[in-house]
Amino acid sequence: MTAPSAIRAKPRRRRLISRVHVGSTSYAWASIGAAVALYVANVGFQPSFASPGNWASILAVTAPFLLIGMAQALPVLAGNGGLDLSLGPLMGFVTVLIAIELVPAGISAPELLIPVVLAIGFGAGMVNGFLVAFVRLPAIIATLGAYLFYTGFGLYLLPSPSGNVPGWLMHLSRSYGPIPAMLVPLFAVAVFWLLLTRTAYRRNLLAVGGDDRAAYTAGANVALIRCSAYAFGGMLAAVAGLALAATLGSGDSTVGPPYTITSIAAVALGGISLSGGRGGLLGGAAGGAIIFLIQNLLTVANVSVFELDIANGIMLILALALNSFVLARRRTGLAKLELAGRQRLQEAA
Amino acid sequence: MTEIVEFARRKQALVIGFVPYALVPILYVIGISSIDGYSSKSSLKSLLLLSSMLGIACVGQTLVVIIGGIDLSIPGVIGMADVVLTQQYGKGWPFWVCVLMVIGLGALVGAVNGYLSRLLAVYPLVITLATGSIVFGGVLAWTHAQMTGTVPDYLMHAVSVVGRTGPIGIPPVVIAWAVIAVLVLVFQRRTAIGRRLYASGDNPAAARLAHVNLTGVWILTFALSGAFAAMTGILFAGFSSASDATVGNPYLFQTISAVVIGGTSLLGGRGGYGRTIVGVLILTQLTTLLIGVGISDNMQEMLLGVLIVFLLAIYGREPALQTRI
Amino acid sequence: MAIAASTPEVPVKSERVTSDREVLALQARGVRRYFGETAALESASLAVRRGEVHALLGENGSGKSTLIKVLSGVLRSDSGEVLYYGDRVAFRSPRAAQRAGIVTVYQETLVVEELSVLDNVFLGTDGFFRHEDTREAEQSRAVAVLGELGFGTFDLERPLWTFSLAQRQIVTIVRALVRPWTLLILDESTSALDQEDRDRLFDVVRAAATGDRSVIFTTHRMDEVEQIADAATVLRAGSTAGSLTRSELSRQHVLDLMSNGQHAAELVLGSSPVRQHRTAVPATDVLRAEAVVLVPEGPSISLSVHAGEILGLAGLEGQGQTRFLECAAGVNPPVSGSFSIARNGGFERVSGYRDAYRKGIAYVPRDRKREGLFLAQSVLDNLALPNFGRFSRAGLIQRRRLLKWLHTYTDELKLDRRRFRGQVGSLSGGNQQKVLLGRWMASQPALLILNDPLRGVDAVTKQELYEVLRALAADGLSLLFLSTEMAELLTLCERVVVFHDSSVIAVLQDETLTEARIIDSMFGRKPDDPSDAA
Repeated sequence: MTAPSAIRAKPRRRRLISRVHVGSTSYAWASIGAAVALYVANVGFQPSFASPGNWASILAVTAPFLLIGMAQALPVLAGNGGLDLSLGPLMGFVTVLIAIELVPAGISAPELLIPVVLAIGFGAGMVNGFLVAFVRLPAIIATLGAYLFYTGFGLYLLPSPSGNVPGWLMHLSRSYGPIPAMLVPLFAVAVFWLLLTRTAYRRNLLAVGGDDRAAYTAGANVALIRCSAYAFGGMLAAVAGLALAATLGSGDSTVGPPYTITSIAAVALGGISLSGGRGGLLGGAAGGAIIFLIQNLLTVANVSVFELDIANGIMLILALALNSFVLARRRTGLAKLELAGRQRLQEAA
Repeated sequence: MTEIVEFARRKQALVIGFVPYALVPILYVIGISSIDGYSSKSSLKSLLLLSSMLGIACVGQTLVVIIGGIDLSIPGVIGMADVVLTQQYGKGWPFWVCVLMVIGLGALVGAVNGYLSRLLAVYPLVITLATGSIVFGGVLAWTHAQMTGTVPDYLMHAVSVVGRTGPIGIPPVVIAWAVIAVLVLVFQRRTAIGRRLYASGDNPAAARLAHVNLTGVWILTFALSGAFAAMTGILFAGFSSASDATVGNPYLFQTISAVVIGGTSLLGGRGGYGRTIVGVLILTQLTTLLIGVGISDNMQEMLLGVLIVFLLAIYGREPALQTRI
Repeated sequence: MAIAASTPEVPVKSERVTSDREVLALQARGVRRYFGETAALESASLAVRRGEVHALLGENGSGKSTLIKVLSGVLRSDSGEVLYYGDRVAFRSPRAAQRAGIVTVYQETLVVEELSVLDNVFLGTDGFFRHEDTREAEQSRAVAVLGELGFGTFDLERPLWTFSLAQRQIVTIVRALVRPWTLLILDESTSALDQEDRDRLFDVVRAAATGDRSVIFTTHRMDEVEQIADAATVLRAGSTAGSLTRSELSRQHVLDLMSNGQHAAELVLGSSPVRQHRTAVPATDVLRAEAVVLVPEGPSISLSVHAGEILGLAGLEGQGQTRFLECAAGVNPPVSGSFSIARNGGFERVSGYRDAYRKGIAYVPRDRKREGLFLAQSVLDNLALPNFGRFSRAGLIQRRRLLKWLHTYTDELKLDRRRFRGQVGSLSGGNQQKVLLGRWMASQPALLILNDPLRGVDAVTKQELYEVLRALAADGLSLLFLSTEMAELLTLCERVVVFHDSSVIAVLQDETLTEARIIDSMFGRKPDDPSDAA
């Protein structure tokens, strides 16, 4: 006698993508506000910042910041102290691969190059994800090893910047008519995320990041979901590498590593919880925008490079302070809600 | 067959804990067999010298990891110490005043780290990253990147391979490390503060209810980390006799790696400096081996990355989700 | 009925042939599971018939939770076999177990705070990308199940962090019930619920099990067993001590199996035991609560704890007794009012947790694993932590002096001295509780505040600790003792304060201190209510 099969009434199988979650961007409002304010400040200092002729080039320089912030958001969202330190070097590594390996090997047309680069990023992220989620190494250690690996590998392949990137890629730092070309990859990533969050992946990811024990006991495949977050993060870092190559015009393995710190700061500044389960790509982009805008502002105001470091540090601390302040407010409000909730339950009963 | 499997599973924890200890002599043997002159006295002294400097920097990192945190500002503080010491001594300040001032600065940075981490209840990872940036930028801004200075001869001597401690043919810094190691081990195991450190890392909520002043513990531990980082910076100044704010940068990853390779868990509450010493010896030998075998800098980095992951896959794995339910 | 609406196909009972395979829904034989060196399960067996509500009983450390984790797919057994409706199964994950029709509500309330109720309930049912059901279908299923449990107006879109522990536990129960199941496992799933919620849950469970679905539940409460169990299996030290049918189910039988015949006459679970009467108690106050208000615009509470007394606090979930206890310990400040402790001939106000400790108040928290113990540290560390400073000279801990002093307390608690170097995490629940209690006893307080300290402790250890507490009181120490078990309150306390709606509704002692009176007060009926049938 076999066990009874679990037959459910299934009226109609839902479409893959259909859920909208109102209010799921609320965590990023403060960051977006700050970014807007900073944009205004930048324009104030440098009116040409806003002129349409400059949009394309400004967006081109900003894009790596936005994209790497979004890339780092994913492993962080997956929780358990997750993060990927190797995303910076990966960016630089991608530019090196494009200039030194792929183009010379004949892979330069966009329909070939883009999928290859995305696959490389996805694969690199997946390896990290495997080490973190399945081998269960601490994320710092696993991605630290990857950081050293890609930094060394990049320098080994290309000790100093050289090589060429395809023309269409370089064109991304300019425009198609009135529209900045860099909008294309940014838009593509946005669409990717919007689609992804309308599937069950959203609640899978947030659950795994919020409380992995709850997710596991409820039946979610925690390790696979966590690993996939790193894989997608690596993929987005590869997109950031493409954007970087577009602005550099060549391969450069030295420019990647600093983006690691930028990406972590972007996540923190974007209102995303560092312990996972709260936030999204929008926050990562907002955080990246904030960092870029502050750097730009300080550069225009003739602040030295070193003072830039100081400013970055202070900004980061302030962002964290704001984040925890918001959370603390929420907990005291919780007490009032608890009382109300209890009363509501008792009335219902 | 199942009995053997079960027996292996039960003894697993013991075996795994033992691997780092075994690696130290194993690596030494590998070194002797692959590199000429590896077993020579000067080679050994060089090894010990490098280990001492890393070991001293790792004191702070170890203690911070025990309470459940991490300190990424160590390179910034090392650089700060190096620059400030050489600058001020170059301006004619007495050496010991410079030393005290630098260590005090390091401790201050650490105290801020600890305080902010508690106040904001946020990963020290990001806080120390931020303060490290601030310190690094601050030092460069202060000197306008013009870094000149000098160090006294005896400092250079203390950190040199040919240095002698009185009649003994061992560089003073190695002796200093040995003394520090003993003090730290005693501190960990036999002092009330040491036990409170472990409790804070093991279960912060229970520690608070057991009347442990968590904020005090965090401030103290991070301050110690900053102080030891500053000490390392002073040693670096003697080592390279130059004024360089970036001199500590490799130690960001090396300190974390040494602590973790030694077998201390990043989760906190366990492990300790004894294990870190093992980790330091492993890491130093690994890098020396790689250099000795003639592998280029870049390849070294790559291999180091792979090796760290490989080692930790053996004995540094976090407990499975199932066991946490 | 919503729960029955999701019934999977099960062969009808009338076609049943009386052979083992046909009748048993679940059969576990010789299940073994080690954690490192410790045997959590040595040889556990279990047989659950179709349509049966089966109680799984045993002391803490007997292996109940481990067995449940094996059955629900969280852990894999080292050896032994599990047959589900006759087929051998070895679930590799909770998902696999759910696919087979086994749903579990775990002891710990596991929810994702940032997600909504709906998302929490249907968590894990989806594939990687594909939702399993439409949103409307999910909503109607959830509402239906909630309605069964009596919570029709739950807002499904509210995030879980806005809910209390009891509400969260209900969400986890709904999570299980909403999936198609043939075996429901409840692991102490009622711990956060109060009497009413629990009774309703049991009604639902009992109704669902008539038919061909089975239920396994674990509990420490004999009254629950008597309420709904058709059969029971008792575990002891990782193996099955025995199983009982409905007719064989009696407290005595269960106790014998649990404790292997020891203390059979003395142990009682959950009914009125013999209360020890003390001779004249000098009614000097040790702690005074003056005009304490626990919630905004709430009622004012004034009471006092006498010297050498064990004062009990009782009440349904969330009625204020826990809050009051925490305020007395200084863990949280009350909205208004104050606590004063007798010192140096007068009374001194207590301001905060540290101050309370300095003035002689020690607090034993409720969750020993979360709030009490340092599982990776040694027993010695756990015992001595608050007092290391006292036994240090020039910074170094004077081990011998420390041990000598600790031994007086640990001997009283019957804690093996040889185990001091071992990790606390490897001790049984009962021994862990002893360590925690020992820590605070050793601080030599004037007042010991205990927050449900014997929850989840095995019967044998409980009796030992009752003796210890009584001895402490006899020595002049005062105890403020919160408990959720009637038996404990009646055994230990001369006075019991019952809370309702964040205020004191009754102070019971002597003749008024009966189980019936306590229960009435808990439900809000005042002691002098004429409709009372005391």
